Amino acid sequence: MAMKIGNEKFKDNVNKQMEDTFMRGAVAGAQERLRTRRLDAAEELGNWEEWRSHGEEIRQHTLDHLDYYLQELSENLQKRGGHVFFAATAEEANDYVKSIVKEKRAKKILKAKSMVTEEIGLNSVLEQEGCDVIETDLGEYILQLDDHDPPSHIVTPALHKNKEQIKDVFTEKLDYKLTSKPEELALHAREKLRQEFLQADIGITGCNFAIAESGSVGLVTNEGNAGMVSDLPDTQICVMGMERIVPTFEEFEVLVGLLTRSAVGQKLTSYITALTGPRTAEEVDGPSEFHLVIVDNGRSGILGTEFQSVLQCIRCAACINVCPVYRHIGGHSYNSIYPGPIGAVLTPLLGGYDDFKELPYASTLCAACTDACPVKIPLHQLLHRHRQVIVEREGRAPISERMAMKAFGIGASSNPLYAAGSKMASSVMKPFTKDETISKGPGPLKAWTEIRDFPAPNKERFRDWFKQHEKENGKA
Amino acid sequence: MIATFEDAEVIVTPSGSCATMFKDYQHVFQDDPEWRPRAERLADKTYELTEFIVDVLGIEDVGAKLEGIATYHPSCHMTRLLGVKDAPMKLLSHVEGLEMQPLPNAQNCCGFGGTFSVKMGNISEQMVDEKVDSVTETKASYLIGADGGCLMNIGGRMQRRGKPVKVMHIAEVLNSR
Ligand code: SF4
Repeated sequence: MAMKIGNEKFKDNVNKQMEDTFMRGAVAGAQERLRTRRLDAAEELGNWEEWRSHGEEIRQHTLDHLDYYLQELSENLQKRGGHVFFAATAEEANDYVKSIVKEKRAKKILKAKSMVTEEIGLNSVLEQEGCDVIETDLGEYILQLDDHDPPSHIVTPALHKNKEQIKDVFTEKLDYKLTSKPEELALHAREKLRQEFLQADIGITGCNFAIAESGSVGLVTNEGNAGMVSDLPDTQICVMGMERIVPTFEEFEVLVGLLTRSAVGQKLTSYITALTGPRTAEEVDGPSEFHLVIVDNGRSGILGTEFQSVLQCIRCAACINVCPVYRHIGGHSYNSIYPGPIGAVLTPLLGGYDDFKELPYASTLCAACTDACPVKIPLHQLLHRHRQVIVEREGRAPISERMAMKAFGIGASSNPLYAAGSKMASSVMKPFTKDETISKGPGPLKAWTEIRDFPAPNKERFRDWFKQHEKENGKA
Repeated sequence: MIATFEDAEVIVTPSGSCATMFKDYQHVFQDDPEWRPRAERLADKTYELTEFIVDVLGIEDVGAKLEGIATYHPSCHMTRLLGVKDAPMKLLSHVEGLEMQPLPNAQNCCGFGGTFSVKMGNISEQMVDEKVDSVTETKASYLIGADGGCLMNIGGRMQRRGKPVKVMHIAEVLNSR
């Protein structure tokens, strides 16, 4: 699996997903829970807007000086004995990890949750090498057991499954005999995973934010599994998107606060881990070898463009949790491991318009995402900008868009035409009108009236009413 | 648009998204020394209707009367982009005889989104259906809003589904006697 998780058309995906009432129930429930928790956490912090601005400044500053901070990060990590590899493409990143696996003759690999490893499709590459790759995040573990069901959310990847479905997966794959209580399910998974922890050769993690001043990799998890993944195996590999970096621990703290509040509505998640190179002579814990793989894979192409702000993203999923479109179509419809508003902006940038040009249209531009984003990415504006680029690139809008524009634009462009049109509208539309309503419209109105009625044009126009009203009040 | 409206003392529009458009329009002229200031001046004197009545005229009670239970849909652009949230509620709370019920999941978009409503018709349908269900849940006999597009969308769907709820623009409510 790489960033793209399916080849079906967006429309077909949507139709299929919308039939899935389980999924839709699970998503709507989760959205409401997460949204309330986030708002409570923001309120408890107070002056949330200031925090957001601060977060935005930190991200902008870092992106504007990205080469400087990446340099600082890698120098500091190398000083501590770590290895750093810059991968221009997914393939380069995967090849590098593969070479370490070969050198170590590794068989068992433990993984902590990481979107960038999903993006580059690392798991399947390692599996092809004959490795046993074990996801330790509970959500990822469930998906892996379920024959590699793709993630549908960037923080809670198995969000589309309810506990009954999870129980079914466990029963089938793990010979599980208990109930669908979340605690029992989690405990069972944990016991299975603990056994794996002890035998692993290599641990692979992602990176929430690398800290340039110390050469560290900061990880935030709910279950503490990242700590296990990074402590127990003797070789440690961190894979990070090249933009996931902060100058110092001070900024790290601000962003982690924004991240955990926005993602799950907590002040801090249960576990924050900072990894800094291999263990030193005095340390007893930790790996003896440490590799940091910094992945570009299309990111530097976004830097310096009008889409640069998308790289501010801290992958909190707040935008996904408030998106009314995601709510109904679920994560899998987007054909990308990055769904929702952030996915609709980022996926076409990383994966190209050819495969993903429908995504920027999968939004009403309601701006709920922009409003929720803790680092103030103007997501709805970027979606709109994508649409403009698509039109410029293809020299025209998609047919459906042009039909739609017609429906709204006819006649409104010229003043006399509009006046005449609005005067005539009610008689022109008469054949389609019943009880002041049009329920089967002609031409561009057809698509509208497939779903809803259209109000028949008013017999009395506002202009006429206003004139009459002024007359009655003796003003005319 | 600028040429048509710029001589007016103030511009009042009965629609949150239109007001947003007036305000945002200046970005089109970012590097235009002539049109940019004209667009800015226009933006500065444009108001959404309820914002104008409450914040500029300082009136919260317009002496309207309407018997019944109502709920209010806060449109996306009006609340999030324009930042007008309280003015309509203040005005509605003073309408004699009107009992306001909160709309569940009020913040969710109704699925209009301009061309989205026809281009992504099936998603739009699910969104507006959820909105219609929320309105029905309140047992309101009036659905009030301040944005024509959203009202046309929710109203059209409600009518198609045979719901006996009357859709009213807030201006109509304030004009009821
Ligand atoms: S775009 Fe903003 S809200 Fe969405 S995941 Fe990224 S940081 Fe969070």
